[in-house]
Amino acid sequence: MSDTRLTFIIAHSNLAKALLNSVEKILGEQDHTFIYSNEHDSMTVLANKIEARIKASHAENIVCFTDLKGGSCWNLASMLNRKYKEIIVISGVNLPMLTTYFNNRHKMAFGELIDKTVADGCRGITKLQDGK
Amino acid sequence: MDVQLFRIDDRLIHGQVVLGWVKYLESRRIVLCDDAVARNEWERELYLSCIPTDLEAVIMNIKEASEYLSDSIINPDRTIVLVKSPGTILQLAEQGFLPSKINVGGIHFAEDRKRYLSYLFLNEAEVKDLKSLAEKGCQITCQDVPTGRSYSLEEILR
Repeated sequence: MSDTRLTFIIAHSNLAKALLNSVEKILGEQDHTFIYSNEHDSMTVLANKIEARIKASHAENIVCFTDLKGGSCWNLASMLNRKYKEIIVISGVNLPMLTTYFNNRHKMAFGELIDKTVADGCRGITKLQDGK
Repeated sequence: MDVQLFRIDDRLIHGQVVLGWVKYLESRRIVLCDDAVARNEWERELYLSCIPTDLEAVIMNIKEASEYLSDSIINPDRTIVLVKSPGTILQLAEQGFLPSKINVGGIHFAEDRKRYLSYLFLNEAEVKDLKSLAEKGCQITCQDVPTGRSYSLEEILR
């Protein structure tokens, strides 16, 4: 076992790629991070690719970001979460949550990191109207 | 009476169906017909966990779905039926129910499949099953989302 914090982003179309590119423009290159689109592969093929990464990493802590709760990416992540207890699934992925996550990935205890990631993702959604 | 949409989709209940087709057709009910999902309590819960409160969703095995869809008393209006593969529809036909129209909404890439559309990959058995369904009189079209172009089966397999 290692304390590598393996990270997956699974999303529709090219969203995962665009999100990781955006994070890397802000924070620089990120290691142990893999992106997937649901566009082409069947869920079985996608699951096999991700499981190969999980087995190769021996990671104790794995985070799987997905876009739509109830969508195929989240369904897949939920199935992986059931099979691998070390996976945490976070839905509604956005740039605020990812910048918090990657900024603190190697600095915080895993549980705290996850809580802060979700909280900052929610805090990143605001409304500005008439200057307030 | 026909259901609104009788759809082959290997992802079963997901965004394209719940956010796309249900809103477009103003559907009230989803019937997921799959033996493997029906017998797995955890998978049943997974697929039902994100259904909006104004939508009803039920999961049936092939035998139950055939009885349900053949029952002339039940009005299947405003209903979407989902199956994973054309083979499931042939099994439904053996049990006594054959849909008049079939929407092929998505079968995705696997090693043994050939690409036909961006969302449609088929192996030889699946092509054979679709042809059998067409021979039985089903009108088969391929379309992933409500605003997408509809392709006939002949056009795709040409």
